[in-house]
Amino acid sequence: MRMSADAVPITSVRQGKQGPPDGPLLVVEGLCTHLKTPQGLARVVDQVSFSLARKRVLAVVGESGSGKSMLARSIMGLVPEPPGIRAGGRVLFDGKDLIALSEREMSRIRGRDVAMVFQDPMTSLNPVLRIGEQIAEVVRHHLGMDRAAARARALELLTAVGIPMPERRLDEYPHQLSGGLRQRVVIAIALACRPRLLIADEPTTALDVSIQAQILRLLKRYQRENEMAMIFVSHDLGTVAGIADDIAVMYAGRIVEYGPVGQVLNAPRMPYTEALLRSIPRLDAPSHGRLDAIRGRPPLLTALPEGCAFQARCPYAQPRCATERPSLSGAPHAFACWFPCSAAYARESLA
Amino acid sequence: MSFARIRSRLLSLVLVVWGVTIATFVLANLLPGDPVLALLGEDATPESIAVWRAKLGLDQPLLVRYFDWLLNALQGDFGASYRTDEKVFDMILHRLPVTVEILVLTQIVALAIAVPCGIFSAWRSGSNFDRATMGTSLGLLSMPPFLIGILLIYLFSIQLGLLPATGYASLDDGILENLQSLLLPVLALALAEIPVYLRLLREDMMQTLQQDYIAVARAKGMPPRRILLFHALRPSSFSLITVVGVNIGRLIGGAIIVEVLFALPGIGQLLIQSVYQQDFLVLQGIVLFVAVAFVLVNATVDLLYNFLDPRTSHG
Amino acid sequence: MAEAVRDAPALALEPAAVRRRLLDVPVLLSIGWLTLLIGLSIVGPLLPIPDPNAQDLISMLALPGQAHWLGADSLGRDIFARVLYGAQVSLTVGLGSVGIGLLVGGGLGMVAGYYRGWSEQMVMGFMNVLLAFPGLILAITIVANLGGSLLNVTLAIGTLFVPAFARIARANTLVFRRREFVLVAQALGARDPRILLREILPNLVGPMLSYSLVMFAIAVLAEASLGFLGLSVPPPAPSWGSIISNERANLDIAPHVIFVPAAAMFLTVMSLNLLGERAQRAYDIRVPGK
Repeated sequence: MRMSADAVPITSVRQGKQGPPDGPLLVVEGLCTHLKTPQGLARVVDQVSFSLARKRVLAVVGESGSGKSMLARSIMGLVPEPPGIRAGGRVLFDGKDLIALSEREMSRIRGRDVAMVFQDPMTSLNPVLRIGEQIAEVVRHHLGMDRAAARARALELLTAVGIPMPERRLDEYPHQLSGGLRQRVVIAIALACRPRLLIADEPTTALDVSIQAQILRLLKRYQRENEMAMIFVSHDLGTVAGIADDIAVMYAGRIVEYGPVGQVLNAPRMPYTEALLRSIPRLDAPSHGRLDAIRGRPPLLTALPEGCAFQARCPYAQPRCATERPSLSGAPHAFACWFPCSAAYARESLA
Repeated sequence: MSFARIRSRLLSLVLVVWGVTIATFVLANLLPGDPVLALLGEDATPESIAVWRAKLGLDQPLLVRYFDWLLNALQGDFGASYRTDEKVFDMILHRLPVTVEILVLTQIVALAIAVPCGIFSAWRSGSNFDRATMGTSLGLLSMPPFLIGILLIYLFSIQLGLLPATGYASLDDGILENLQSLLLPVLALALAEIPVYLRLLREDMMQTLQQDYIAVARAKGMPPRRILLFHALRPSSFSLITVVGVNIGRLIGGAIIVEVLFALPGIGQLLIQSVYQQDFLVLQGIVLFVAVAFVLVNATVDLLYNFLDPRTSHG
Repeated sequence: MAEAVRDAPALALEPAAVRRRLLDVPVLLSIGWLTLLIGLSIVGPLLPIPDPNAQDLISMLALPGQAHWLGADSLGRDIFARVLYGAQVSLTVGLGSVGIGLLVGGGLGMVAGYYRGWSEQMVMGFMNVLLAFPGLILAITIVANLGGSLLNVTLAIGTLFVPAFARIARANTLVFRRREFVLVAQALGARDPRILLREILPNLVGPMLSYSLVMFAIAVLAEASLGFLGLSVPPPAPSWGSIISNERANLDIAPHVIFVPAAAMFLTVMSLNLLGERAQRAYDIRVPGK
């Protein structure tokens, strides 16, 4: 289902310096975000660098606490300060450094050129405002539409995300909708101004499995039809395999492996990635077999070890790993490990 | 709200009001102290005492007196003052406008200051403004309204000579004079209530601002002003409305005090006078009137809350 | 908020840190002032101070000096002595009314919250009727009928407090009765009074006591207001409110007569409020609509 571009006029031309038309849409260089905790300074995002071309989907995966959500928020400039601190790096969106922008300028980009979908649909919508209003205000604010046009656009969006009886829903309140429908509304809000980049922070985690599939299909379809770039944050490798072009694996605030999704998942080099893959339960494994969990716990972000952050839990760890920190290297498949997995790890399916 | 719920609310309302009438009567009549002796003095003759007892209906059994009084009250007859023979109801109505004006103005002033300060404090919590506001609030809460009033009098009447210390000018004397005579009393009361509203709103807003949907609003690129005043204030305002309603009880007490302090001819002053003069029918009538009014106001606020908050009014 | 913070290990505060956070300057000053006040109130009669009711018309409205440490009022009575005896009144009323609130209100609330059903309806219904009266009006009516005296003022304010304490006791009881240790006790066959006393009551102590501090402050304010209206202890006995009321007319020529009791009142209530709020925060209570 196409979003009819001529149904509602979109007024202004996209602002901001246009980077080279074939250059990457988003370039993140050495992004650092710190968090002040009672135990000390936590480096929740530590020297993260990557680039994202237009129309590409990047999956960012990792355990809880790996920093993937904070990375998403850091790009959007939504890290609460205090206790957060933007500690350095650049985020170049179409050539413009988002970190250097004032809050005011940044708020003009948010919701319009870059949009975000959050994890919990039950709490993402304001309970005392009507659905239609929550969608319409985005286009009214960023695109200058009047009330009638904004309402029409909201209706259009609700239809596009597949909500039944959209005219009725416009005037309803969030608590009158189910979780799956609410998440569709959240997506509709994010897509309202046709952003060029969508950051989805675990958009399906809080939903039923059947609904998860629907939401994924919706996102995938929209992304293809509108040539939108997407960053998809998840802890679930299975989910991202179907939707991502590239994948970045995060651990303790750093990217430890990065590359095209096929290469990384079929031939992981970083032992952590291999362990993650192995810990996914397989349908054809014998029942009552042990689940392969990664032993140990993630390190405290306030007391990161000197060498590789994963070495305490790594089955292949060597003395060098404890003293020297490996840096991310290699292209197009990059990894940060002194002793990467050499054998190709074949997997049949990641359902 | 469903019919059944409205019905049960009304029922409990009626029960409470009825309980109030009983409590009022009990408080005024069941306790030691002979109003007739107080009225006539120590050396009254037994005959005159008997005459007066009959006249005031004090020789009847308690239950009869209660229902007598209640039935009369339902028809608007609260009896008459022992001393002046004026009808109590008329006395109340005559002085009601003054008290109501004080209460309304106080709420307006208190909210006008508390709401913006509360919002800003919540938004910039931990800032110097926030800490100053919280400190001042604690200080004001530690002073009874009469003390605030006296300090205001000291500052504005005595030291600066700007405003009259006591006295009331009714609306007939001109609206400016009226407002001028009420400025200090209303300010005194408002200063006593501002900390209550401010702290509540700040607490509520701080919680609201932590919610996910506020982060989503920021992610939508909404400017801070809109987020504060539209997205955050709305949910927080509901508890504020409830408190404003319940707080009227505190306000009424405060109104009594400022009326006495600033010599304003309202219901509060009448109440205190009736206490000094041991005019128990007047006392009873005022207490009944105020308590019932208070119950009705609370019920109305409750209804309003249910009507306004979509979380309770829909499905 | 960030997952990183959510997953941060549970805060293990060392005792020193806790002490630092709880015992900062305002708290220490508050405890200091209250200790001073209570101490003076107790030993007051033994101190070499003038009789608070002794009139010394020569020293009418005297400024603080040798004879009268904090000055004298319009009848020459020593202000320091009067404020001190007034403190006795305030503290006694506060203690008594909070005691009534705790015992009667707390007890009824606990019963209502534990047994639910009919007894809950009755108790809370009765509380609702009491709450229908604006606070000061209820107190005024009771004192007006009983006559002004220390006991009656305490009873009046205590009656006012019963619904407030009942509410919070009930709210907390509702929380605790669902907890496992209660269910276990019930399963083991313990009888209700024992459960109430041994399982539920100890858990109520913390929240109730911190609430009591704040209510103590309210009691002092209420007694002062009643005193201002002439409805507290009968003259010539001093109460902070009545002193201020009596000397109102002299505000322009002798403000110190009013400022001394005012300052005492302010410091006392402020200290109680501060301590009460800190204590409440420590127990993380939510007061159901003050």
